[in-house]
Amino acid sequence: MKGWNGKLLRVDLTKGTTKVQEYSEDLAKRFVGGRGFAVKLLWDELKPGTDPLSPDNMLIFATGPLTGFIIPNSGKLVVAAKSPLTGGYGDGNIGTMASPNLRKAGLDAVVVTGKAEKPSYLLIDDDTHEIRDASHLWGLDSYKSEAKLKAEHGAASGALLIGPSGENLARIATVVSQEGRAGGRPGMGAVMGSKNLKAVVVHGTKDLPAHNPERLSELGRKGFQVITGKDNYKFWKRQGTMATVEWCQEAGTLPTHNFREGVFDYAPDIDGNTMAAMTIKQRGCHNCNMNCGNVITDTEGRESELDYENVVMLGSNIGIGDLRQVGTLNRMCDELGLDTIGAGSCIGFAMEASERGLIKEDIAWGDFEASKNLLTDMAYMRGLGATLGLGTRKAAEVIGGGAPSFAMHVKGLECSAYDCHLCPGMSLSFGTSPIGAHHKDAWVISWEISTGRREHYDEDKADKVIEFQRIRGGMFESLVTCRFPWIELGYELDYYPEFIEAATGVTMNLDDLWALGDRIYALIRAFWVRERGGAWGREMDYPPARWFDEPLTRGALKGQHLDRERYDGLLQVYYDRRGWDRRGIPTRATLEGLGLAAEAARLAEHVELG
Amino acid sequence: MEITVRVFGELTETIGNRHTITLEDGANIRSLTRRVAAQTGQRRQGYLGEYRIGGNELAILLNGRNVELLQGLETKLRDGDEVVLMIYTMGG
Repeated sequence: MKGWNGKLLRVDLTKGTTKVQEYSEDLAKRFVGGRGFAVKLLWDELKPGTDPLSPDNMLIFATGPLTGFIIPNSGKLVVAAKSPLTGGYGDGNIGTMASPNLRKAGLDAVVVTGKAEKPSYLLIDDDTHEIRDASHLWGLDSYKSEAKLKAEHGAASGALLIGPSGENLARIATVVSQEGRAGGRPGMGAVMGSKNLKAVVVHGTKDLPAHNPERLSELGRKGFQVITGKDNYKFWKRQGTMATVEWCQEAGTLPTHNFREGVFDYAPDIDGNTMAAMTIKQRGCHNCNMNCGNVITDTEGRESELDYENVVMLGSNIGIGDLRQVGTLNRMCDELGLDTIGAGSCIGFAMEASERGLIKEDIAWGDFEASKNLLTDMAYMRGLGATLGLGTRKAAEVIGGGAPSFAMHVKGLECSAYDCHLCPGMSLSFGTSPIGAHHKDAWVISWEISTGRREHYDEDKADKVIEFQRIRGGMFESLVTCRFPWIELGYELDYYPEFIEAATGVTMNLDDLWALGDRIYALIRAFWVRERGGAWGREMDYPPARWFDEPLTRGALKGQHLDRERYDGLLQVYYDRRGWDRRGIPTRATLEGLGLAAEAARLAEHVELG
Repeated sequence: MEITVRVFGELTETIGNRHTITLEDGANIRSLTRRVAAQTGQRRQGYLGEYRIGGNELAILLNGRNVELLQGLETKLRDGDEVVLMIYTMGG
């Protein structure tokens, strides 16, 4: 096989062993890499019902067949495991130098099981694979830990780490890298912490063989040129994702006060224009010329790398209208290894619980000092933070008294920063996202608003969600290249089959890649159903109750809310298109049609298939 | 009558970010966008920058409501109305 190294590293932290394993060509061709590899490995090898924080859970780091080549926006990898936040499939992608380094060390993925006796880190340096003592790093924040590791292993190495949040098993802990890159919202950092694994350091120097190196190099060079030549490149460079604050405010979809409203009085103080005037530098991933991280100085004079989701969840959603304060909270999350979206949602949830008198703590909307304290307390799982650090679903169960009605999550994962009181399509996207309410897969909101049919539940909204899930959740997450060139600048999808062919020699047209997306989606759904012992129903795919039951009270959309019956109709269209039954479970015929006959047989041991 | 036009997103690169437009009574969104196009020197008829007026990519909001939910380009304007022109792309 060219393009793929064909090897993954198995690490058993309990036994203290590492082993390189060759994997099959079938896995490469049918699941490609990244998310595809992750779900296939979890499905095949993880015993159903495994406690996500037990040594038996598998923590997977997976690259794709384009990783490590000079191809636009390819410096990422996928981190995946069974989620301790949701109890289902969890993953995320993260921009990190560990990604190209892993491929140049001759590997495509790392699968970690077991639990080390004491704090450890994994060192991969070409053919050296060692589990090393991390006692000197345990307890340090992710920035300090990374600095120490880089000092020891060289600036060319890449590191994936956890902060105190992961060590203390906060269920909203992510894996972080390079002072501001983070991935694995559904508690992937907690899984790493449960294994006593502080970091993975990777350094690789080997040649990465491509099927047609000259062609690949030419395509890559051209790709970078096409991207910088796009009409909107200049504007993107100035504001990045932060331009979204302005249009979400105008469209009434800017999460405010724990998603109670869609407009925020101080939105102009935290928007892209305000940020552009403060930006001191930009950061991006390896092999990227669209640097999306805009760095400002926070209230403590430290650098903080901003983007839309972080700023809104730690800004308008908790009532903070000062961008430097938001910057401080954001930087703290990165140091502590907390998910910025989940953390912002948990703080907003706590503020509302306080307002309703459901908790004894007095935490007002917009209270910056209290927010800082809550972040630290969630990371160390102490005081109220010990409850909030479990995520809003669990925290609401603990607090009780109607709290579940304002816990803003789907399947246990907190909603990303789009208020959907009047966005049935984006609600369906959150509802059917394979990890819970995340925007990574079907980010249809921009399309939905611009069509001017926001309040409609037309069938084409289900089609659009599936189209985006195939492109973003299937193709990009398995190739592990960034979706931004396509979604933001209009970089054409037709380039990707060409990249694949030049890298691997395998012909995959866009239809093959959409089938890949469908296969991955069906298998992830099967994984969820199996983990829940077959107890699955369509209510699992509903957005938070608030969007149905509590109309907006402000702005141009005052009085608007989702309609439950019509949402359910749209969900049924989605199931019909996917070939899933009324419970939202892929039928046997659908699974078999996607080449998953063996998987269907195993799923049938847990639930009757339609 | 006077209409305030605010522009968001990358469209500000080509047509600026704020205009006050004076129109005759009875004017609608179509006549407003034509006037904005003329005042900002747009050469391509029916377009603002790269974006077709009335197309899906260019959103036009009248006092916060997308005009597609009203009468589209035929939506009538009144003195003091605020119109927003924006491109919904950057985000996630």
